[in-house]
Amino acid sequence: MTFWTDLVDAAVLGTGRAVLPAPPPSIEGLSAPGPPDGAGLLRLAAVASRARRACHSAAASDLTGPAQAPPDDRPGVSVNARLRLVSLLADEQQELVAEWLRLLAGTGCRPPEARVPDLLWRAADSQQIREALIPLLGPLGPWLAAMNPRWEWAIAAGETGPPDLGTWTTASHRARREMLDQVRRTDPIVGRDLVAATWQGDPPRDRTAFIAGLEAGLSADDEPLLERALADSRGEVRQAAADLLAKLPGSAFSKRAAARAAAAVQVREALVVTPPAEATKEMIADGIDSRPPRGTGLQGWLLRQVAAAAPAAWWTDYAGLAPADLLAIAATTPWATELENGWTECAMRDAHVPWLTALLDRPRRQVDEMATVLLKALPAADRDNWLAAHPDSQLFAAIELAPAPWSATLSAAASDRIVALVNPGGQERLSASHTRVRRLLRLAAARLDPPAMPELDPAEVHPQLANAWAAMMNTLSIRAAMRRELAEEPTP
Amino acid sequence: MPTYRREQVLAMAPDAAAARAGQGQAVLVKWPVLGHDEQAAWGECQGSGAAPYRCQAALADGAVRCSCPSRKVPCKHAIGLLLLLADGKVPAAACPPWVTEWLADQAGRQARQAARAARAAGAAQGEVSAGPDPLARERRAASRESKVDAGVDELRRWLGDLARGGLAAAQSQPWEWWDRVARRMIDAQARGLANRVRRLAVIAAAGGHRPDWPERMLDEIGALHLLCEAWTRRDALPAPTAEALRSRIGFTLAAADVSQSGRRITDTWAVLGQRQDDESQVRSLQQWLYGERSGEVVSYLAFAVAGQPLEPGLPPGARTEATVALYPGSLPHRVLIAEQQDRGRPLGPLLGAGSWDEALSSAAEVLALDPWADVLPLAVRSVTVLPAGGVGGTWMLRDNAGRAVSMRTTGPGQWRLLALSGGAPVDVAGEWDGFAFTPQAGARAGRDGQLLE
Repeated sequence: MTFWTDLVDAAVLGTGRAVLPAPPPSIEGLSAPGPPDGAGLLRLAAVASRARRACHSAAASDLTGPAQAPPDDRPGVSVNARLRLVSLLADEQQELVAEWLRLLAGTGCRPPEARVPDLLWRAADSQQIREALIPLLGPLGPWLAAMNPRWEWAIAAGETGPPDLGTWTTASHRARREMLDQVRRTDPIVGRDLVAATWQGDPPRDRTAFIAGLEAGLSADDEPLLERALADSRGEVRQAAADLLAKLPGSAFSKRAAARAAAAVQVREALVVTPPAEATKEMIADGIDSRPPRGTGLQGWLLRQVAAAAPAAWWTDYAGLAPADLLAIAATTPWATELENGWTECAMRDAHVPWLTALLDRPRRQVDEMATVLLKALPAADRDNWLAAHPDSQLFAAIELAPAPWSATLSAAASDRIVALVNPGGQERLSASHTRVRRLLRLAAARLDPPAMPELDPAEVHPQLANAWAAMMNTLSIRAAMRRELAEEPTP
Repeated sequence: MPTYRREQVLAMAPDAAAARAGQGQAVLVKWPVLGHDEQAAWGECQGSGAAPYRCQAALADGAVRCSCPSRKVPCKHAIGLLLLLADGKVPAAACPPWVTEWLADQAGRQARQAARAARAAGAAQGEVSAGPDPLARERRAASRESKVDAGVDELRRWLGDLARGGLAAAQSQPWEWWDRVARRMIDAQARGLANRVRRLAVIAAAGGHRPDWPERMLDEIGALHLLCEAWTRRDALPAPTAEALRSRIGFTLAAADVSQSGRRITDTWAVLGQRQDDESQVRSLQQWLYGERSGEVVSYLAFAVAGQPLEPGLPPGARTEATVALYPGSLPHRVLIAEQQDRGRPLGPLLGAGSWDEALSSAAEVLALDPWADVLPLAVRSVTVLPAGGVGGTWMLRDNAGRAVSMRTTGPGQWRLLALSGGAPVDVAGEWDGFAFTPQAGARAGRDGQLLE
């Protein structure tokens, strides 16, 4: 015990109850002997606390530190890029942090070491940061995570080895489905054989899920198993199998569906439509539902399903007409709605671009849900092209379906559209509501390809949109800078 | 050439409207003439009048001039020009005469501006401004000293009561119990005493989860008592200690006086620690500047009231050639930036002592002049981070000699330093508060240092 710690103990109790310790000679010489009261304690505290500070030295330590983290061969980012990440983290800009990490992945550089703890903390709350961070962690991530229980998830996060197929028969429903998904991505045949191996004994819930799981990597090789499932005792299994068989244009199923469609719809100068009078056993075996919803006639209900079951591409070949023309002559028949609904279904199932665009281009009075669904079914590049070609369409608001980052085509179109909307001098005198324009500006701030940044004198921006405009431009300029800085010379 | 980032430029705008208007000027078609060199950027901007406005910016300090009639500084043209520069859209060119003349005129202007700004910031901190009438000044000074006398007497009695009652009893007192005394000290125009009383309240409040609170509290009480005693006997103190005392009590000098008569040091200063407070009513910025040639470590401190820009100090995490002027009094010296010779270069490796004991040996010297010096900036090479075994345990930093100090673990700093080190020895710079070390900058062997804030 030193004099200082004795003095602290006395001070905690107070001189009303404790006796002051006797100062060592070195301190007594400095301080005149004081009274044994509060004033005396203060005097000793003044001198002893200063003496303690003046003489403080580090204590010997033989604790072992952690083993060193394995080396990381990736280069470091530029100083400017590192400072950018620091400021994004400080400003709690989670979306931009996630984007910064996604850009980092393209550079082959490692994340700045000192900020890895901050990234791990953020990743606990933000799914997108977590997803972007995990493949970038390198050896440092698991090393750090081993020292903080809150980061436990990061220890195993880097390891994505092949699944252990031996557990197929014993694993839980969810684990089996995940295993199947993973295997189908790399080796579809192995995946199908897994499903086939236990087909007999698996409960309906598993059978339905596993058939649906065959969608990834689907090929003609899967047809025998799907046909087997089509004869299943359970309706939901049959339905899942029919959905997939319809996606195989050369399958026997598709040929049967096409034959039924050809019988129902004949193409002369006009369409001659003969809907099935009743659901045959074969139709029901192929997944056609014989019980129409209330208020729907049986014939129309069957016609719609027959039209939908045939491949989208088959229809145009069979009719020798483009989708738009086929839709036009169908419109003159009493079965226009049923046919259009059926074609919509098969176009979406097959992601058939000519059909989908023809359906989208049909004149419509207002944006309905169907239009958005059609747009969603288009492959990304075709969706972007369609939006870019229809900037004035009400449907342009569906641009929010396009995830970040927007393609160059879409960005350029969005940029032009934004300039037209925010500039009251332009042709559109604030036809769109401010709320909707602000929403578009917010989307563009986060998703627009920065080189396509709109150029407009802010003085020409409608005053009520000025703040939203400035906020968008600010975010876009930060995102442009992020790209510049990450392209700068890496550091060791 | 100094570079600007867009956000930096936008932050220079006097108000949001100017920032917006400035972005509108950042369009190439508006600038028939546009160029930059190492020192300046300039351009002619087509405004509403017949003649274009001539706009120019000195890159070293961001000073701007524009021939437009706007009274805002910087005006929207200047902001637009700097935004274009930030975007890399301003071509390099030879400097026209109207820009070189203005640049030559800048040196004198800059010094006057710095003095003005320093006075304004000083006023925000309640500094006694040196009025023209010496008699009135003396009267004011005498009246303030007698107020401090009364405050010190009151504080001494209160401390005596506290010592009799014991720290344990004081620790359980509510915030108001401490705050009442702190406010009495502000009334007595002794802001330094008030701040220390509030610090006692913070130690008391943190008591529950900081086992060393009695030590910290007694240390602070000792310092306060020593301030009271020294104030009473101030005429007998050696000059440097008397100056330290006055500044610790709360007397501050006007920045203008410091820039005129303060001791100056020109050096390459590495900013190895920075603390910015944007939340409080009076915003503040504190930086530790480590002088490469002089070995001095000084503290830059700036305040700004709401709406005023904060004088930025030196570029954080960089080395900058600059001349600082020292405030007399407390140690390490507070400084103001008298002149900045460049815009900052990469930090390079961290310099520092070879061991903790070598670094800590400066404490006695500092305390001999300013016994109230409670925070020491220290830099030590090759230390190993020893993380705490469990939650709430002590983190340590061990030097090459096998000796260790404990690390402050209230912020994220210890994790950042650990991650930077990857378990290998690192060079660090940070603050020693007499009990624990707070890392503020670090560098792995052979790599450049970086701030950990």
